[in-house]
Amino acid sequence: MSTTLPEPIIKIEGLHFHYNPESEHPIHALKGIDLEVYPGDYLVIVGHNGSGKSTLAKNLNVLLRPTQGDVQVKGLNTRDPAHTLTIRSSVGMVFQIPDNQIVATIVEQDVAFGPENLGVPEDELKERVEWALGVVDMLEHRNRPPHQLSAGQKQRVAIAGVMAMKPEVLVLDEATAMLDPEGRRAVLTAVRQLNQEGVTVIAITHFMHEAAEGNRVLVMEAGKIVMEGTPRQVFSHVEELRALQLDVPQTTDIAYRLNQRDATFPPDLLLVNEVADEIQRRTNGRGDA
Amino acid sequence: MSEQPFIQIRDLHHSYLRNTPLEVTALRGVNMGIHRGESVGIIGRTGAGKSTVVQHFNGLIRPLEPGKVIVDGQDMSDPKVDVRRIRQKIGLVFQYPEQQLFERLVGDDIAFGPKKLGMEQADRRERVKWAMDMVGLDFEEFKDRFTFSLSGGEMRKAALAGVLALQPEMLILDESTSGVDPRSRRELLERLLTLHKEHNLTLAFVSPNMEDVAGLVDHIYVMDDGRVVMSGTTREVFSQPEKLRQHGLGVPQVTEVAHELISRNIPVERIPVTVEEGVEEIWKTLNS
Amino acid sequence: MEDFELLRHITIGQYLPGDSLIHRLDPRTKISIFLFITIAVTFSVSYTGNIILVLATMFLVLLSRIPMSYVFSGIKPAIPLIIVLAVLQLLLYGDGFVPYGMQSKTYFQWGIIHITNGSLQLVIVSAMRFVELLFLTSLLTNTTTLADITHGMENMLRPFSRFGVPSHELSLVATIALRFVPLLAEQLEIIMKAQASRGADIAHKGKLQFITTARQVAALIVPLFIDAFRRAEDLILAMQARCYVGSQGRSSLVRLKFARIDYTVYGLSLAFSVAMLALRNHFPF
Repeated sequence: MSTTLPEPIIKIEGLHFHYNPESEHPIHALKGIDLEVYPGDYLVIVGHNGSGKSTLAKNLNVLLRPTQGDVQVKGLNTRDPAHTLTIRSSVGMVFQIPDNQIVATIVEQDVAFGPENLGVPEDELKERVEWALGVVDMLEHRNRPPHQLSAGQKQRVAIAGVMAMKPEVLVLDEATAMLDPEGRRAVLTAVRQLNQEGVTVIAITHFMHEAAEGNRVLVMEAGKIVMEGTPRQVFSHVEELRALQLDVPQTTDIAYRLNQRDATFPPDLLLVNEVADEIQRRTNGRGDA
Repeated sequence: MSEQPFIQIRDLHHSYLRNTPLEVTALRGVNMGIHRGESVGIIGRTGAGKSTVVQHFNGLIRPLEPGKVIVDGQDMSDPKVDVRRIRQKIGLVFQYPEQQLFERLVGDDIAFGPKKLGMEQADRRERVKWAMDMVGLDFEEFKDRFTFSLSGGEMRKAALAGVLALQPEMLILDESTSGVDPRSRRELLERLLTLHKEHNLTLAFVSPNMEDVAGLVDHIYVMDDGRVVMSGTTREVFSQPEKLRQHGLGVPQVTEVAHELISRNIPVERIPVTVEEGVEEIWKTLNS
Repeated sequence: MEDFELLRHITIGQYLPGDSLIHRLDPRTKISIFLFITIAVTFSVSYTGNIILVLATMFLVLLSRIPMSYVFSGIKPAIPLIIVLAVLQLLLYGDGFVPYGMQSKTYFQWGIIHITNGSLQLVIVSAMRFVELLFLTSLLTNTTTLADITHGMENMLRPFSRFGVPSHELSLVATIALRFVPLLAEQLEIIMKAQASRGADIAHKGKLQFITTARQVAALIVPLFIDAFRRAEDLILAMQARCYVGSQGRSSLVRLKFARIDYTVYGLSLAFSVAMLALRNHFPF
């Protein structure tokens, strides 16, 4: 049986972006990006501040338009203003600072903001708000004012507000950077759940261990994609990542260093359990049963 | 290290909006002792009370009865304490540089502290230059730049320089590296450690992330719900990952690996705190 | 001693959840009561009229089950100022002021000081009107969430949109402002603390605390404004990302509906205010 790839939901060809293109010193932030994102992908983009990750994200939902090249969402070109609203309701985006995304003074009313803008009729509005709050596990807080919530809870409300538009793609622009470990865990759980339900996720982060969540990792540097692959593939290139001054998850770092001392030790491990399994395998019989 | 702690906190309580229907208790009997030259971490989830505690160190918040806060031998309950001098000795860096910078020009902003200390123009200039060198901001290039035109990382350095310009004996960093990308974080921490070693600068790091302080501090206080719930060396604290998880915290992956091995009855001699230690320990285990 | 947390102590306008008759009224009804009775208060200069109004507004506050102590706690910081103004009114206003319902009678005179029955009436009536307005404000803001107040006002302004009044935009502006005020207050607190940590003299409680130099104010306002603008930039992106394009074609989760009790209360308060206005010059004293 032949396996043909499904149509990409986002297709980027030769994308260049310049900030202040007309000025004396335009900033060439994206230098020729080619990318295809498929439905159901969980794509993680890592890179330094200034690598262009955020600029790339904003080109996905027409917050920015290419200075050269094309971005297509569901076959619609972002350059065409007639498609802007359709694209924005298909590619939802959550930003870094939870407070600066919340408009209303009551949680459920904020979640309704997106679909209200789309003119969704009243009873469907109520359904969507309930569903979205349920997915991020914030239903019990529906009537509370946002300033009483923790940062992690606010970020989940922001995700609900975006999901209430029923987008096919969810983009998270460093959405966990300002959260404590608990908040991060809760957000990642919600996102994982959404991805399992079929939502395409594009997560931009500088936390390496979050990159392990995805099925694909992109490494960006100075406006270009410099590495691409599964998390395992990408992280096993420890030296290259070091040269880019990027971290690898500690687990991969451990495996790599052990591999340097003993070439039979696999260098491309990702999860805590994998490292423990490998060590156990090698000490079998010597440890207590 | 001297005998008497530099900062001593006993039975400290605090609540916000006292005597109103919206009262919120922030601290429920906190005890801490920080010695000169020490480097401590104060870790806990948001709302644990960490910022409230450190704002007592420099007198921004005064202790409520019966709590006692003694800073460099001075009792902070005494209204006659010269709070200005305390704030010269104890420097506090907040989370976002935009909260700390306010002068139009970078040089002027960093000079604010020295100016308030009554330093003369020429001395001030020297001090500002010193502070900027400490953080890696070129004096000539940055002193006349507009403060708010700097990049995020540059502003962070400027804010730190503004506090270092007081030449404090202790530096508190209140979540000053949250949201900062790993490379910039490392640079910042390296500079601070240099100051710590070369100038005996006492350091306190406040953070919700264990990884931020692993390998950097001599002692960790874990806080939750207004109390100190764990206190010990990094290794001692990392030996209890379950308890840390209960308090909304985690341990670095290398420590998790060690605990996983131990739970499978594979011996690990010492709980590792950094990747280097972890690799050493695992190597020992594999070859024993 | 410094007080950095003064901004946290602002309790006026704080919503207190409850289940009273007043809590359950449509916000438009409550806004209307507020408007109608405020107009009546504005034109009421007699003792009788104000006694009636004090009792009426007190009755409404009691109906809402908001504790009186809470209502009055909000004005505590203003009391010294009120007393000063009252004394000045008593001493200096009497000359040439014609009291309601009686002949002007001077009790004491010395230079520019004229204590008359008129100035006395003025002080007492002013105090009563102040209390009435306090009750009315509390009635509205302590029993209604800010969200409901803005929805109510948007709804009431909607008929005027054909005359160019942007009711939706105004309501959104109000909502966003209310949403961000506590955040900016927090930010200001941190800014003050950061500057104090470097040696600035800020937020001193006690003697002459309100004398600050323009420089000190600038040092606080500039970073606050920059923070506000940064937040605004972020918010714009977020709103665009959520397809905000203005009021065209928007639906609404919240739909306000009048119940029978609303019509009753609305009618009664309108009638009461009209009566008070009509009779304002016919009261005995």
